[in-house]
Amino acid sequence: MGRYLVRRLLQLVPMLLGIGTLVFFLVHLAPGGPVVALGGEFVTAETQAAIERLYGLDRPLFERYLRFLGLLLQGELGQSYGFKAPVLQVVLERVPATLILMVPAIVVSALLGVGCGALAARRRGTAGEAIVVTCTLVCYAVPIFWLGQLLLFALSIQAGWFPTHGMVDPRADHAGLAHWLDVAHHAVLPCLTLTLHQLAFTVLISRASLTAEMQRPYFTTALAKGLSIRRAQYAHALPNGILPVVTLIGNRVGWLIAGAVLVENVFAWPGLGRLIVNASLDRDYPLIIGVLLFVAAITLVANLITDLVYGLIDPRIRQGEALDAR
Amino acid sequence: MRAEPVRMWRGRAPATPLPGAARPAPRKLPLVIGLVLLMPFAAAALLTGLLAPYDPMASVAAPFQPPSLSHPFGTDDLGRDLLSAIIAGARTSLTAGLAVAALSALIGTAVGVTAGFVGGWTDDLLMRLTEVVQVVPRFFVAILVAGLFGGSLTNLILVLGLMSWPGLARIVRAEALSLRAREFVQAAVALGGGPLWVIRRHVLPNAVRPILATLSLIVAGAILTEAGLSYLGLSDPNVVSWGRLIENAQAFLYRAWWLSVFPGLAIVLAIVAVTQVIDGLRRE
Amino acid sequence: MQRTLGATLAVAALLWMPSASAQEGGGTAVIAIDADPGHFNPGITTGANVHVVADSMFNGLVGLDEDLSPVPDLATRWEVSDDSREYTFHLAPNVRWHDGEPFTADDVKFTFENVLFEHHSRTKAGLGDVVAEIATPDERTVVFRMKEPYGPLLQRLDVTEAPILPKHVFETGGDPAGHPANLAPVGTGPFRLASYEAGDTVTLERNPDYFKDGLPHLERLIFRVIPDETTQVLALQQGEVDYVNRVPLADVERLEEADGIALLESSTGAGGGNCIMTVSFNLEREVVQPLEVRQAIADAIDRQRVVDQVLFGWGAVAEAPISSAIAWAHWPPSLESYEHDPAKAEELLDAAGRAADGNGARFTIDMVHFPTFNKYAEVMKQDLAGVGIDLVSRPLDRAATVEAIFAQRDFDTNLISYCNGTDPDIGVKRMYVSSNIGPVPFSNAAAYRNEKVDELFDAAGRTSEREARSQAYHEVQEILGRELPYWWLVETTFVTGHRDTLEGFSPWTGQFAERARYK
Repeated sequence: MGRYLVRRLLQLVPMLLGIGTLVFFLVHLAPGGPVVALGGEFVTAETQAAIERLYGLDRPLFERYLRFLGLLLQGELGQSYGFKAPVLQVVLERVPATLILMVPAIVVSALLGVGCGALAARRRGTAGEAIVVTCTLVCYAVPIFWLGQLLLFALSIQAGWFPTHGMVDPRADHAGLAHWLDVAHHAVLPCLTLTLHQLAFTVLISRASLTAEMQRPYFTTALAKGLSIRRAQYAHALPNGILPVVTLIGNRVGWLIAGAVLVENVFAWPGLGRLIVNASLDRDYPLIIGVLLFVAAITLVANLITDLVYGLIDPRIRQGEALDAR
Repeated sequence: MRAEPVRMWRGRAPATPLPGAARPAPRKLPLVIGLVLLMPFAAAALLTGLLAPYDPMASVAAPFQPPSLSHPFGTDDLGRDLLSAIIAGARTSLTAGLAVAALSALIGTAVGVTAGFVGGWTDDLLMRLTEVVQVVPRFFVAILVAGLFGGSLTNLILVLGLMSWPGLARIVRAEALSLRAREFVQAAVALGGGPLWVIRRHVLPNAVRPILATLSLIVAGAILTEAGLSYLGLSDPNVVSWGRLIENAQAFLYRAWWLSVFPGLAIVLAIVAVTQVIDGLRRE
Repeated sequence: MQRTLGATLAVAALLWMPSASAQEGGGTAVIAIDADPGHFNPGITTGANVHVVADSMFNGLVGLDEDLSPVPDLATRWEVSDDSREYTFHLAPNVRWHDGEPFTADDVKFTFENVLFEHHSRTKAGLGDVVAEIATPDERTVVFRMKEPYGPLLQRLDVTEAPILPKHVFETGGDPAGHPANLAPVGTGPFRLASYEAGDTVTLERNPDYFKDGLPHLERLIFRVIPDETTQVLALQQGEVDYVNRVPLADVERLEEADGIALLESSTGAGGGNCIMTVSFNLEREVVQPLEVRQAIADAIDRQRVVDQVLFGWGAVAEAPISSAIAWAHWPPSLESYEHDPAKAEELLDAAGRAADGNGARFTIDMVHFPTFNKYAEVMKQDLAGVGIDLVSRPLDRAATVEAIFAQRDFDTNLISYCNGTDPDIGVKRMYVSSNIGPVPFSNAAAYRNEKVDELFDAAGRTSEREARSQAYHEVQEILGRELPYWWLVETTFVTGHRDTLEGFSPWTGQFAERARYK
């Protein structure tokens, strides 16, 4: 297990370098530069040159790339132009807020989603399935920011249950538990938006996967042994059918962060999403690259965790891993 | 086979029922529902000029008219007819969805087949590339490209098309790998069957279901991404699209509900339609 | 499971019913801002996101009243020599920095020479070359000596243009651009920094030792980052936010009827003031070189409709190249001959040899602009289509727009909000003088060259004689109206909204909350 983990972690390095290279050239070959954001409207040619010198933007592209690569190999992402602070620090400051939205969305949607998916698969052809599937499809197809605004209008403006924006009530000086309750109160709407979207996806794939499993011979055998459909489903179809679901949830992490960008914008949530939009508008090159690398790294780690979870679920893969470790 | 059990598993196609297993009769319902839903959108996309009652870009009436007989979906802040705009937007959104799907299918199949059949370091290299592309956050790159190079529809299609293929490539590769070892394929190759023939005859038919499932996600993803970019103000203003209509409605949420509701419904229904059609095809 | 979720939501709702009315006693105002400031040094940037927050912690030598006339701030009074070459400022007594150190004339001299002339792009470009010397005869007197007569100095010394920074903090600790004090600001202003949550909230607290007696009234200012302007307005309506700097114009009518909200109209603010939405013609491009083509475009655009449908009535058709807010320089006769007349536009185009083809189409031009100006572009596209011109809108983000227009010069026309500021020498001259053609953002985008215009601008800048200056600017506008290197669409204003439990905001200056209070 340990050696396998180390090997997988080592594989991350060249991949992150590859992604960094891709993004580096994308960003540096784009028109525009950080001068406007940093120098303001009335910037003189002299200031412009000074800014470019300061950040080494007057050097040839290839030289800049080598410098970037050298830094990256040492685990350095450089300084953000706009925040005048290390990129990693700027990114890490925003991560907790985004996680507050993402983790509940993943967990709740996974539990609830597999349950609903199982229900839909069990009740094939009934009104129950039709309802679950229709709701799911609609939630899946709604643009997420639109869903957010709808919930904002209904539950905040009309019902007055939740605040319209932000993470804490700025007027209150909460500490300890009161603070976290306040955060939770503010998080309900954005979290709900993100969860509904992710839930829809989970229901769709778990239904498809379980349906397929339920058509296999072992399932028929289980039924023949006298198990109820429900028992057979949870005891036999689920352990097999859950694998693709877990994979897709792992792969979805990138998409979920993307959804978080839009949701954060609607609810003024101070997370990672807003950082990338502003960084790209301001041409804060190190920060853009840093955020993208960070999200990619999270996705990679999520994939890794997915694979490890596989091992726990499916003994065949544990065997494979044993082979692997030899 | 080299020690890649985990990856093998992940790339595996959902099981096809074995002979003898209970299998419900093919259900045509989703296909029918989907086709019925899709028809008006397809018509709108193909016959935009004929169906749109007005020029979608021109001011034809007083601004902010609620839905009425002459303007069934109302008019917007510049007095443009919303129904015409939604009809025109169908072409943009469906083009985006289908073009992205086509591009990813092309790249995904090419990469998957090459990796699966050639194997060796080519396979290794291609799979690393696949993984890199898969974990680069697509929406973020779309934001970047739209912000840095402009938000034209072509840019959007290129970004999403060039980045949405990894899932397909994995499926195709897994299929190719499993087939490569099978006797009948080796026999076919021995008998002089070219690689293209093998691919067309054996690989694609086996992979078609998972490919279709993935394609439906890609089409929906493209339409939603266009809307998301529009919301962030990063789409092409010279083209009418549903995303832009919703973005435009942002400022008037409380003044003209119809501006936001109808384009939103169009997106939802179109995605449901496409998903159902593809789902239906998959079951056939 | 679903039932549990529902119950949780209901409990949550009960526990935290909105507490909108809790603020009356506390003296806290919550301000919505659209972007994170990042740092709090107003001396090293012109960025509105920094100034909107940081200006409340600093002061300028002079302030500006609602008519943009100079009023005392750190300087209580001043004298100007007859030839406008020497300005003497007498500083307020008993001013202390937030850390307790006394404020002196040395701080002023240091700030200009070491910070503003190095890092504040607008002040550097405007004053860096005209100030010969800054002298400090004693601790409470500062003398500006100019290289040549210079009229508009007093308009350039407010907290947005020239915030005064503490010498004792910035003379050590390295380059001001990366100085640690940028995140721990020490100012003289009415408020001081209490806490900063990057990307979310900045909290300022009252400066109890503020040198203006009895000010400020508010105990705390809390700046909240809310990027979506719809959300800003909703938060204002719900009472979660007390002050929104720029209310979306489409919402103004609704807010006027809403309970508890007061609206203020203003033409200037922390980002720059007295702005005119202006179309620049790239005079290096053949397609817009014929004067008739430019005139036809001017006549084809229905500017009143822009005011009605884009600005919802908040703004006015631009009557002259210089903003009507600078009344003494504004000269409406210069554009009198233009009016919305598509038929005349078509005649002009025919005369210019750009005849229409069978479909009525004449030619295609592009227009580069920020995405926020999409709506203007849509209206112009419609109007120009009516006379056979196909306008292709090219929205690019801020950095790419500047690059395309001023560095690559890759555009036929562009749309820029040129802010005239408080004096034509600050915000108008830069658009027209030939020395300002080049890769500098927001300079002479049209690449317009006219020696007479250059001379007149120079002459007007060299004197503080109002009569002579206004004469020169009137003459400039006559020439511009004839040659039409730009087309001036509309003067924009903005509307500020706040809860009507508060009063006394001054949205036209960076220090908007110095006098704000609860009724």
